[in-house]
Amino acid sequence: MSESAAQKLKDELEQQLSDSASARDSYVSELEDAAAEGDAALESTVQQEPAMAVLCDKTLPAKTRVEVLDRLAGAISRRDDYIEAMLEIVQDADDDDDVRSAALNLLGTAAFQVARFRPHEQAYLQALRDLVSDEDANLREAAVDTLAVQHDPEVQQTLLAGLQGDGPLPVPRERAIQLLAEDDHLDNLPWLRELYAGGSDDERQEAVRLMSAYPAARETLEGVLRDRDEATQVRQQSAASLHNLAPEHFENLAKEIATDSSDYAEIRMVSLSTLQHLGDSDSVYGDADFLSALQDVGADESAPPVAERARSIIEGSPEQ
Amino acid sequence: MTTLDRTTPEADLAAAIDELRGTPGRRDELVALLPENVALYEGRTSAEVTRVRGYLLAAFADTGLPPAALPYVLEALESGEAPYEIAGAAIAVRGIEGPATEVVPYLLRAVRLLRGADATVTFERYDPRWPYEQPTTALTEVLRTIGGLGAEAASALGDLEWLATRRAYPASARAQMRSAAEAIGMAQGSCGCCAAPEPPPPASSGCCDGVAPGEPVEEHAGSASGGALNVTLEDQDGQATSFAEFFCDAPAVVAFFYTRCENPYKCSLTVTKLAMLQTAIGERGLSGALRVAAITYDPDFDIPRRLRLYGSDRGVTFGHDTRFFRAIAGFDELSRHFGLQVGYGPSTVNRHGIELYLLDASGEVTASFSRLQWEPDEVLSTIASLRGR
Repeated sequence: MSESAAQKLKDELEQQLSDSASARDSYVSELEDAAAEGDAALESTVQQEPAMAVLCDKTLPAKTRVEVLDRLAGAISRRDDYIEAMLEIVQDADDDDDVRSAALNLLGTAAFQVARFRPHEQAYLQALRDLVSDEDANLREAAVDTLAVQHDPEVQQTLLAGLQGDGPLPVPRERAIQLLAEDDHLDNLPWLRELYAGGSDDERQEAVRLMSAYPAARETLEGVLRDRDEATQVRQQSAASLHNLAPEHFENLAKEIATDSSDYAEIRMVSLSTLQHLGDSDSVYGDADFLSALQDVGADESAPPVAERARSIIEGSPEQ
Repeated sequence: MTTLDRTTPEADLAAAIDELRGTPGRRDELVALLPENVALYEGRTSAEVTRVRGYLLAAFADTGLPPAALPYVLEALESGEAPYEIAGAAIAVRGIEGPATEVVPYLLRAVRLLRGADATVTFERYDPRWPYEQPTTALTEVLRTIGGLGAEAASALGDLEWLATRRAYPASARAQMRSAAEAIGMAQGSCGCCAAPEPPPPASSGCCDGVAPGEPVEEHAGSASGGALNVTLEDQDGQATSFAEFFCDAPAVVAFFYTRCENPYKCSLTVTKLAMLQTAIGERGLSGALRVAAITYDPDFDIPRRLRLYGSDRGVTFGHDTRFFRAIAGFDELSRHFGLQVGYGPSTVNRHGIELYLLDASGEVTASFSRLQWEPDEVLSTIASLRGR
């Protein structure tokens, strides 16, 4: 390409970029203006004002105010003053906790309408951070959940300090570990190992699920998948995690488990199903030893579903 | 100053930065802490790295902002994701020496980045606890800096006045925009509303000496030639090849990325633009004469199917001359060859720059687009000029 042609191309592309940026700005402006017009129309809907009066009157029964909140749910995100009122209620520690929780739920819903909620994002974030140390456990947990999913650095620091014994934990320890693990750029593996070592079946299953983001957890996942004393649901999750993290290692182990008649049928089925539907076909059908062992599994009617699945895999062979 | 590395507690890091902040004559020691691959960041989480870098950048307001630190500041303003780091970069600009007019588009870019993404931050001390004693927000700091630049920020007037009418920003931020515009207008000796601002140049137009992208490279950080690299790559289909086999046969464009990158303005955008570049290369009849590749920073996690999905989701069409790779052997050597701007935490990348390289047919780097956003047309122009040499 000559230099002049390159320059011409550069000019053309710059013009196109400039045109598209202007068009985009114009489009976004039109959308925002349209939204503002709609909001203005809503503001003149006087029937909803008494509702606001009820909502903000702390002398009224909480149940009544929560009912009003429920009725306002559809309109909340379209009114800046409603959102501001919700934020005030949520941050008012003297208000009723049920009303505050209902307001927080509504704010969470409103936040899904990203464009409309943009001007309130920072105030909402601030309110959530304030709630992390609230006396009400439900509010605390809801705020921590929302912030952790957003990878908020403040809540991460609070959770980490709590886990390390340097401060109060706003949520139960097991939950704190799971929430920190929402961010796989943190040093979560030691906490996940702790959760796995001491948690309930559900918590161990969750720990194993979250380990799938950490290449250093591969051997642990292999160990869990091999562990016949482990709960089936945890082993099944381990299979999924290992497949996600290191498919080749999973396939080798899955072949071993699938053809081991002494292992549980549920785990053998998971192994076979994953190999059949998600496995590398060259690895599955190019492994003569495995196919031979699979013939035996297909003929073993002590575990009929496993045998049937084995036959199904053999029938799916490119050579068939 | 004692050596700062992965074992240095964060509090000691902050103390070291504070010490340097108070000694402008030692500001080069602060600059030396900016590259992502220094020992200081090794093994730290991305959250820790963000905390350190935001605090570090803000220190340049006190020491003065040397040219060597400017690319890092502009990068944070242009492609930053963390409000704390963007705020630190905006504060750093207050230490700029010499004309600041070319930084203004980057500050405006930060204003746009923070739309709906602003957060309360503080620089009262390192790693404070909520609630802050001296809270501010990233947007507030960016707007304060723009206003503080006075007449030098005249090119921002039109944007500020327009942005101040946008409902997408909180009322408080819109008021700050108007205040900044007024400050600029007053500094100009006339009211802001009467000024006739020049449209700002695009942020990637290249600003400030030494920051312009696409510069041909005379001598690259790496020492080994491309052909001598002992690096084994695996592509998006699981096919293994050596670095030399792919890169020492034809000129190539190669970008670095990783699939778990959470910054939408870095890896995701880089690969999207790489797909656009691939299309443009095809339209110019250069397919086959120029290879297109991307290599992951995170080879343990980015297995072939992730590479394929990440590329195809962003418009890349894979083929013999367009491939995504992970290094299955020799990644350290590869990293040294390119002088990769990447650091690693306990699980994955903790921080990285924007990196795109043009290689000649021997695998040597001939030009690089580093840190600041690049555009496909800029890369094509550089390719054309290199081919015309």
